[in-house]
Amino acid sequence: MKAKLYITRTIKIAAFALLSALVIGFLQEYVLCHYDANRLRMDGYYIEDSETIDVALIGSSEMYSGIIPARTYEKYGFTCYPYATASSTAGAMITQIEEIERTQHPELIVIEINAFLYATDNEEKESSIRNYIDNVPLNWNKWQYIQNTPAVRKLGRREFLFPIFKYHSVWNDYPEPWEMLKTRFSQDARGYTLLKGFKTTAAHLKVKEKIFNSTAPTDDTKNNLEPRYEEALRTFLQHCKDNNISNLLFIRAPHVIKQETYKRFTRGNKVKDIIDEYGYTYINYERDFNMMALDPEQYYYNYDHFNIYGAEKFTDYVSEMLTERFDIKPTELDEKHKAQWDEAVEFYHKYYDYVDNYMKQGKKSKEMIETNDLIKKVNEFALKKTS
Amino acid sequence: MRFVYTLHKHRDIGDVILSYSTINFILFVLGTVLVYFLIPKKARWTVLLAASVVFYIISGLKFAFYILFTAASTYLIALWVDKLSQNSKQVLKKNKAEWSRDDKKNYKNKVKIQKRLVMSLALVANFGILAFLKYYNSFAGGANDLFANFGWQLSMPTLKLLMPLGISFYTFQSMGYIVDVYREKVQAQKNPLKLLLFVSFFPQVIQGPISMYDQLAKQLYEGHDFDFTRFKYGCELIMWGFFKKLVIADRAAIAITAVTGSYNKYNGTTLTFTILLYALQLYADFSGGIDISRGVAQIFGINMIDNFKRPYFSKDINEYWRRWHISLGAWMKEYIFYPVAMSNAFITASKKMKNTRFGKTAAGAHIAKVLPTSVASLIVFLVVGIWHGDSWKFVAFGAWNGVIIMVSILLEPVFDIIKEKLHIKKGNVPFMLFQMFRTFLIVLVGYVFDVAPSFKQAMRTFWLFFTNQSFSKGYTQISDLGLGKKDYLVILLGAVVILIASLIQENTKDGLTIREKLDKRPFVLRFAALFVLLISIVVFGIYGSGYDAAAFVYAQF
Repeated sequence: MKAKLYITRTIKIAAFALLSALVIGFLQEYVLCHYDANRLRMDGYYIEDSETIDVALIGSSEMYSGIIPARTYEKYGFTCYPYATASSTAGAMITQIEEIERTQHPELIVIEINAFLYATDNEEKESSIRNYIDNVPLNWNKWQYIQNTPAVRKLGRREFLFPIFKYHSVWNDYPEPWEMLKTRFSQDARGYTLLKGFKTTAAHLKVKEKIFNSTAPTDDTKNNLEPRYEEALRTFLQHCKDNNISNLLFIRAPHVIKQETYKRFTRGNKVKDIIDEYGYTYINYERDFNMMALDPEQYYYNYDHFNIYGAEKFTDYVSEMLTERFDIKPTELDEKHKAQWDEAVEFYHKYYDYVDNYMKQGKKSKEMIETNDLIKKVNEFALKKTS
Repeated sequence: MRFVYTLHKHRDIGDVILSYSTINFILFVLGTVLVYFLIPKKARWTVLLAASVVFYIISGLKFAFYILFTAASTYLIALWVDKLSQNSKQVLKKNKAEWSRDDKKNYKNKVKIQKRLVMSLALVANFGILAFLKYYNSFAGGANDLFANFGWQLSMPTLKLLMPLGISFYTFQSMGYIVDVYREKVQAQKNPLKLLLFVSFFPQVIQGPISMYDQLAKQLYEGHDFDFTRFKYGCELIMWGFFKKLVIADRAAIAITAVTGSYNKYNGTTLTFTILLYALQLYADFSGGIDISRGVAQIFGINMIDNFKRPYFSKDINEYWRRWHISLGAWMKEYIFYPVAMSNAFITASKKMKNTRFGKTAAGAHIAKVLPTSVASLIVFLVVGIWHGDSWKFVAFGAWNGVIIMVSILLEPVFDIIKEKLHIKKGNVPFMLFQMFRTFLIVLVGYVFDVAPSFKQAMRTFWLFFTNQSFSKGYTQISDLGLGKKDYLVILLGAVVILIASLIQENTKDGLTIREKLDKRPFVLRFAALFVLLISIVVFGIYGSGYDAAAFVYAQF
């Protein structure tokens, strides 16, 4: 009799705990979280089936606004995905590599080195840290990152392990995040994203100050990295070496260099020496600015980021190099995944037309994030155009 | 009471690592519960002691000296007083046959004086520390102003004084114990560690309730078996406390703090709204905190006194104070009210008045009869007011309540006559509602003294209530207090939930608590109720780095 009572009681408690955990987990994952393009992109990465990405792109905004996965697939045959978030931190790199290895085993991992070039303390910035780690599903790598990152410890590890502690008040922002939430449901239901993490801003840069790109290809000035970033870079490189991770390529995306960012450019030159020490390859595309014939006002939407025209140019330039120099051999996709990537290509063309039309109309700068609303607008525009 | 504007002055209290409304506290309780029920029954009180010591040390090591001093002085003085009592009993027994009645009386009086002197050592030392920490700087400031007015070159230094966590509560509780030993109501505790547990029991050390030794001590020292129903009820009470504290009180505190931060900016409508919101916030905060304390204690098998009994349903102010902060009221009644009202001076004055010409009239006889009670009430409330803080506004708060009670006692026959003339019978519902409304208004007037930054500002607030009402301006101001419409909606819904729960409890005929009633319902209903409560706390609670959660109101006292 007593045993029966204990069993019933245990079942009831377990049911309550389980249901509570499920509902709270659902709220944390979908409803009460910080929604932005980073979340959708990272979610998009994790819903990609494993072994379907040939090249993984790590880094900051340069990666998801500079390289177009649909275009690499269409023109060069390899699939890629930007596992990148805005202002990504140097401290997150090891976790990023481990996450990519855990989920995709790509042929090549391209790392944009922006995270090591900061003069300011990006490692301590909560938003930079959260842009990435909040969007990683809870697993051993995430746990390790949370335990070992000093800034996270300072901010409170519990709120990183259980982001609902941080974001539970997001209910107050609704209905604003509703569009993002719907998009998240849609892409999860679909099982893949259409732009494969790519995002552009429809605008043209207006250059208002002196820029240094014409002399950059021959400018060998080097400035040391901030000590903590050099240490972070060396730690990262050593980690990769110790773990026999050889399929790495380090790059620096081309920026429009102005007085304020010139020192960053010189630090980018210095990075080569450090990476060479560990036997990895580093390509500084800042030095290929002229070779790519990049007109800042035509191809950039601000000093640091390409617009869609620039992204196409840069994607082609990098992809040619990757296929020629690194001999990327695309994985044979099965019919299902081939269809998905074909759909991505088809959608990208429509997206390009929509953005191109928007920019030609001279409208104000606008982020073009793959939301349900934007997909609808892009498809409507395409339909209108064909009819 | 809680004085919102002092929140920021007392950040050290809000920042305590183990504040009751934190996850750390829940983990701490879970760990203690686990160890408590794992070790032999006889030694279980040591777990509570260890947890209480750890809790206090983590919450503020620098304050540990104060509580240790109180515990040590209480222990020694109580033993001393007890020894005097025991000795006197032995002496009286020994000389029972030889001593005359007068001899015995004289001896008893002598011992009584000795005991009083010894007891006063503890009272003066402990209340002295409390008074010094609370009032020294104000006193020094006032004295310096006075010296300056007279042109004297004197100056009293002001000191950086911080109030140790829960000092009022453990001081009151300890001194109550000494008085009980003095009165021979209880025997002195021989084990210093057990006494330390009584003084520092962690669920109540921050904000009470102030327990009597005979009610709490035995429960603390005897080991309790694990009881699932008690565990469940304890957890439910904790959840209910969290709901009141995190969802309602801390949300309302955001708006109230905004008003008190720039008090002069707001018109009469906003201030009226703030006082009403404060009534809800204060109740939710304090009763929520007490529910958490009681819930934790209940898990260990310890029943602590309930500090609240739906105070806003009170039909007169006397009743209100029997329903609000019950343990403080009981303490005041036991250790201040009765000693004053029953003192020789008061009894003699009452008798003298009875024998005057005025005392022979009906009104005079009534006044002579109730004079000790009414004056003692006034004194009690002045003490309560002063205890709340070192400002004239607190004196006014105490005086307001004391005077109202005094007047209501003195004019009771007049009110009875009016009721009779108006044919108002006992149990008349509209009249009862009127009484509740009237009492609530009286309480709100008292709250004005709490919320306003000073006595002068409190007076200005009363003036603005009548002269500066503008709903459109008020609406604009209320919309700009750091809370959105959805937040106000949450507060309103929370208030409705509290109201429904209070109505159920108030009208219960079977004497069961809501938890006990819920336990009789089908499993699915119980499950759903607790689930909704939990999710409400998680989603709507004010916690985490996105918010600066408020410290518990009474922790600062």
